[in-house]
Amino acid sequence: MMERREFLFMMAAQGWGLFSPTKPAHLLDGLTDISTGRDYVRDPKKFSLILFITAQRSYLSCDSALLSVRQVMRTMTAEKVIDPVVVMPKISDQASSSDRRNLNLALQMALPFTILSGDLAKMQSAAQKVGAYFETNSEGKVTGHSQKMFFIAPNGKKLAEHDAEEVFNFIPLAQRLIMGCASKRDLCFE
Amino acid sequence: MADSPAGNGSLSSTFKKAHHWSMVLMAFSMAGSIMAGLAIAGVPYAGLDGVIAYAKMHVSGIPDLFTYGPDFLSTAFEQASNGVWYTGAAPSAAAIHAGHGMASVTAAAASSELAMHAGHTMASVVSEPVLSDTAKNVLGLK
Repeated sequence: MMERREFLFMMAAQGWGLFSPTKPAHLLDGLTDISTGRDYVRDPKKFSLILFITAQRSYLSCDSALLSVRQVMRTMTAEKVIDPVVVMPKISDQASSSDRRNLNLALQMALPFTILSGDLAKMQSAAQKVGAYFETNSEGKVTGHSQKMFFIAPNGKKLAEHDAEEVFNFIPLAQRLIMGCASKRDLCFE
Repeated sequence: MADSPAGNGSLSSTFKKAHHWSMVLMAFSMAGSIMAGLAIAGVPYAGLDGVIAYAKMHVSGIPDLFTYGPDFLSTAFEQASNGVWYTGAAPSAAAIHAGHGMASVTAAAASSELAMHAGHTMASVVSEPVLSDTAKNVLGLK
């Protein structure tokens, strides 16, 4: 029969294993999938191509970023291996609450974007994990965002970032990374 | 039915055809001149609005062209009036490219035309991906 000391030691070890810094949480964990209204459930086999973007059109190039992701997905026919993700603060957290052009464009595209939202602090935290950002004004409202797309391995590690406006060099790189991860699974998969 | 003197193949017919097409050409030329004249003079002309709006939306760089183009062209024409075509108009190129994400065009580089164009290679226009350490390991670069 297990002694009390052994039991406590085992629980402590398991607790350490769960919260060990060697196993950081995936940056998308805890965000809400707006299509379901529930926490986002990741596919552990899929890479993520992420845009950190607002519902408002903060820049003229915002639509280009969304089109770039669509272009990547179409060119690579990558629906089975890449999840195109848009991380988007709540409309109530953005400076122009009436402007939803980016959100509408993402929703209208035939490409099934996974749109994730949540508290602004969670958005900022997720962005910071890969070197992205959301800009805020003095009132704490979001006014801008990174204009890059981020390619993330299934285990949450950042593989690459690239200007979101054009994908000239990104597509062949993504293909090489996916093939490389297939042979070095420990680097990319959980 | 007898052929008339002005029938197909006659000199008169050929002249009429040439005259017709010269009129068409002249009409297009005049219409273009009028539109260009209105645009240059800054006269509001509703016919151009749709074209310009479409171009601004769909052709990147057009807005900057409209912003900087007149200055650039006026400088060029001033130079031309002095008998020198374009030479000396280069300083405005830095302004033309401002905001295009060409970080390589610095103020220092803009001081010389040669240095300024050195930063305009395709390498600086087509952005390169930034790889993480994980990606470098995956690709065997590290």
